[in-house]
Amino acid sequence: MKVPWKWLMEYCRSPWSVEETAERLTMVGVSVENVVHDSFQGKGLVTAKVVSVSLHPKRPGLSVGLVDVGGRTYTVVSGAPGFKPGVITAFAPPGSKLPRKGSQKKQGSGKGDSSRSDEEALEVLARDVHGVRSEGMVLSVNEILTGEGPRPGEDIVIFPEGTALGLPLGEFLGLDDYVLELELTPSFSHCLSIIGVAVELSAISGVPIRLPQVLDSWSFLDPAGSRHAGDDHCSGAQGGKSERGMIEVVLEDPDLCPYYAGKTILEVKWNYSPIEVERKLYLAGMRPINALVDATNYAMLETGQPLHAFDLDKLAGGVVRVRRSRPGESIITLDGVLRELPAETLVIADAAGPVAIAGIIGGKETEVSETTHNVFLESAWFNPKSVRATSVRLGLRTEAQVRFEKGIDPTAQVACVERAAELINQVSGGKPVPGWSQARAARPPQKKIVLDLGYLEKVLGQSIGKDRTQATLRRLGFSVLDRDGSLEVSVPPRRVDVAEQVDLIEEVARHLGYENFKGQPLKVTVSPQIPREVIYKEQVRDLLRSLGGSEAVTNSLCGPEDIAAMGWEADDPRANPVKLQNPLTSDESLLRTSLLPGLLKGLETNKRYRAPGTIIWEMGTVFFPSKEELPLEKLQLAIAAWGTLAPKTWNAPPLEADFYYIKGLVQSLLAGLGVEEVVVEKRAGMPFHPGRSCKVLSKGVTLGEMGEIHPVVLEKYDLDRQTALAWLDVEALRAMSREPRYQPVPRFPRVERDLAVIAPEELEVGTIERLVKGEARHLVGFRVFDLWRGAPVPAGKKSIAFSMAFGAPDRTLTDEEVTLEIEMIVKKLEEKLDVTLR
Amino acid sequence: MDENDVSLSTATRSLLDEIGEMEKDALTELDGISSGQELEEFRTRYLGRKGLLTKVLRRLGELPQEERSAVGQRANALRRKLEEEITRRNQTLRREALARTLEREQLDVTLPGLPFRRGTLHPLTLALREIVDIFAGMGFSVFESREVETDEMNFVLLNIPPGHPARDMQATFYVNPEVVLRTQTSPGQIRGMRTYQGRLPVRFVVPGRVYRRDPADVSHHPVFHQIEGIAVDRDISFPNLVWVLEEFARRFFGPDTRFRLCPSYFPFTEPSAQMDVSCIICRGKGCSVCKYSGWLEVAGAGMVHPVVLRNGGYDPTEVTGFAFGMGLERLAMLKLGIDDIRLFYSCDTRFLRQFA
Ligand SMILES: [Zn+2]
Repeated sequence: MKVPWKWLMEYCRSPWSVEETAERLTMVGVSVENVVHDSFQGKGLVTAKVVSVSLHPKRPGLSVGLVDVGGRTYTVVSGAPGFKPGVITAFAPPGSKLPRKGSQKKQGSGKGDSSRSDEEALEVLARDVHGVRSEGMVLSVNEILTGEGPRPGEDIVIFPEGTALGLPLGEFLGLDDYVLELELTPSFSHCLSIIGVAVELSAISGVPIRLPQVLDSWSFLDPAGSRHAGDDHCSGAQGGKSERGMIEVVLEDPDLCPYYAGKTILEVKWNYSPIEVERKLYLAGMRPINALVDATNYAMLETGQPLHAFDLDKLAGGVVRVRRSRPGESIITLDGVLRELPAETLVIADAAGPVAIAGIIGGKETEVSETTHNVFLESAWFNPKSVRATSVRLGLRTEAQVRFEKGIDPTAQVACVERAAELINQVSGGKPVPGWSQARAARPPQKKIVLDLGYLEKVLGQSIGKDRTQATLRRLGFSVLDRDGSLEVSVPPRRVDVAEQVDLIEEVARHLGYENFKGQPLKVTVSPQIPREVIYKEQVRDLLRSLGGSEAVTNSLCGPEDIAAMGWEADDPRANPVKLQNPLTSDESLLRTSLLPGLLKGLETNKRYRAPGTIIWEMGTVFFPSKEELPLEKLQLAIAAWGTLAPKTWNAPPLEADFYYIKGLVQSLLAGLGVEEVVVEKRAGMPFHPGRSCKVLSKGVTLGEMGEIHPVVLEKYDLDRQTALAWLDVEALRAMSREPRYQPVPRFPRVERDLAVIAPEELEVGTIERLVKGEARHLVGFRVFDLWRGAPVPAGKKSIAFSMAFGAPDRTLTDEEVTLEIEMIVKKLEEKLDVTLR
Repeated sequence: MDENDVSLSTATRSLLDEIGEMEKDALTELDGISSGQELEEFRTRYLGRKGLLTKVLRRLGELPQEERSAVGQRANALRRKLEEEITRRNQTLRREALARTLEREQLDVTLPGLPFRRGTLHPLTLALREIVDIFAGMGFSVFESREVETDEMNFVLLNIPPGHPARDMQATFYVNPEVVLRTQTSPGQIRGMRTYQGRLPVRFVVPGRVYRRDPADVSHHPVFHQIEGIAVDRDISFPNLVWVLEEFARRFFGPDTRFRLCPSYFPFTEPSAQMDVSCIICRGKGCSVCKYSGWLEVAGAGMVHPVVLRNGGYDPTEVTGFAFGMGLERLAMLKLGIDDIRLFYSCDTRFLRQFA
């Protein structure tokens, strides 16, 4: 909502500067996002009198005249019908500048500077017009405001007799102004009108509201709502259908439109609006069209009641029906678009069919134009939900629709249509037909709320008192009755946002000023509970930080390509993600089933930046369809490493992202978390390399998988080197984690012995380790320290060297004991695994 | 008694003279010794079993009986002296040798050490930890809630029925007409309150991911994070909310931060407020980040709407409450001076590794 400052001042004169007023409005919730200074960009334009006029010697239709700017005269050529002796008009002498459309100089207090330089203004030059030198131009309203030529049928501007000559136009017309740009929350729909904002300003400042006389006479701001002639809420056309210009109004769907008022004005003269009206509309962000349409827009901006002007003579059958659309109906709307009407669309129809989409946009066929003589003004109340639904279905948003959708005063239809009729009458003449073509299917509700002062003070934590509360509410237009201990408050019908007690409490609080509420500490002390799973997550994070990776956060939304890249079988739950109904893009149309695709893209990003290698990890939710109403959410941890994680240095070999790197990382993590009895099983599923991956289990429970990436998956990514991945189920990890328990520290030294053996190539070291651990009685440590293939080890064999530590809790083992144990181990290795001493 | 004592026999005087010469020679020789091995040879030559001093002592028998002991004492005095000198010389030699060793073992300390690699936590994790700590200090527990929600939880129970204009403020992703990706952490208010089963006081924060159907740009991302807080008790009032927000702003942004509350609108709170803090980029003078207003919006808040209290299992005629919500990315961006929200989701380690 854009509020031109001078227009606002017509209803409530602020005692403060523009900036301060904006600040104070913001502090009561009428959020002024921006104050724009809109100064007139024309230069050297003045008032001037046409002194004499003669016909152009060569061109019929053109005149040559002398124009007096008060002391100096210019010869000007013009074709305007109003270019006649004695007329006072606007004049642009040579060297002056016209504004360029949309180039009003704007200096915002916010949103940066939208001003454009003066160079963009158009300089007026003396020029030859068919042999006559024209020293400047006489101007139409459109030229003054936009710098563009006159519109069809537009004459030069004519100022009242007696206007002084040579006055600068900007000052004479008061074109310098400010615009308050409001960013209104849904609860401030009552400020979608300039009077609505004025009411707030009046409540803050105490300066009384001044309404246009017509609105005042219709009690526009009365707490009980605007009054109706004879208070007859349910009658049909008043003034008699027989009377010329009256229309029969039929409310076929009163649930969607219970109140409808029409006003007829006969024999209007078609023209454009006066400059001050056009200027206001421009400042308010609307484009002037013609005097009839402008009057409806003007009244809407002023009151908040959207209005529509029909060409009366184009309404077939002397009837309007407000009804739901019928299958197959369509309409060409004002914007020239043919629209098929979805079923249940509320329309205004005449005898021939729809002439407007109710509350949103009018039809092309019945619009007012230069051929219009008789006009029918519509002022109605449409159901907000219906308007909103239609707007969504049609994808069409208009100034009218925005207001109907938020809800408008259900009592003000007649008052507002009278105001629009008055504006039309002032500019376009014509004869307003007395009375209204109206129908009312219901009596607008009168909202009364009981406000419990004790509750108010409890919520606001301050003693405010009855008097202050009453005064605040009254200033905002509520009427208040004192009913000991509580107040009975009548809500003005235009305040559709106020429905219950807490709404009134907010009204009081915001007008007392939030800045006047001093903070009060919470009285009760509570010891906060941090859930164990939250603590556990942070423990995992700290461990991973100590192990060297960078925590990443990736999008929870992914696309079919991300899923396909992983190579999962069609029946794998991870290949069957939860789908969004209304994604922004296909890339973000699914809920992730794994963190790996996101992390792989993250690796690519780093490769693009020429990192030699990267290790990133994430802990986050993955989602799976479920039989329940809501999908299954699981917490996953994933690690992704690519390339050279630490390049070779003068004293250390490079650290590469390979299987043993990721395994070591996961092992350290699991050890840190107290996960016991961790075993690995060869071969994880996709996206892992089958020969270089494993599952990780603890006590038979699968915790996750890790390994190098499958070459087929790697092809999908721009990662040309070793990539190692791991994923872990955080809930499973937590279930398998044990709190540390004290174990007696060994009191006797351990004995270390090394063994080098020759084993068949295909024998896994884990098998040897398992056997050694199974056979030895006092083994407390096992460490492989060398692995060798090739000469002198025969082909098909490998040499493994490992160190074993032996110890007992109650004594130092003797050499003999250890030797016996080792001999036994060697014997078993030979017997069972064909492993021989080297 | 010395070699010049004429009362002594000639043989004794000659032997004493020899001992005197030996002492002189030995001390001179000792000065020139520069290694442990030479020193050991020296000791053997003079003090060994076949050494020079032993030889002298063997000749004592040649002397008159009464003079033997005096000469013996003289010889033993020399032995003691040489042993002391050898020890002293030995210490000097070892000291010199150590100095040479240390000199030899010098390293280039400017070469880098072993490349230990420090990991990093995400700036959002760091910011969230700080925020949770601040609220825990005010007695707020932590409650985590789900990300995919029913339309009822995300909207209806929060006083946003179908067709409510507030639904326009939040472009929603739908899984089906009844299931949405939560647009706010606020459904956590209901789920969290219900776990209290009517007990008082209720006081917790809900951190988590939320989703809005907004294309990504410098200040929007379809996935982002919020932290929500709620307190319910018999006498919670608006000034309590003011205190909690002020306390948070001071601790998170620093003690000099100024703040203001303006009226705002949320369907689930009433009265509703928006908290602005003085722009930490320009210190309130006006810049592009604060849109030249000097203020930055950091939180939405208000007194819990009676409908929401009821939906959480509380009687609004008996208890009151306040709630607030903040965007985690926005808080982190303001505090750390980050100018593009997309960086959080970039996985770019040049960004991620800046925050430790
Ligand atoms: Zn700033």
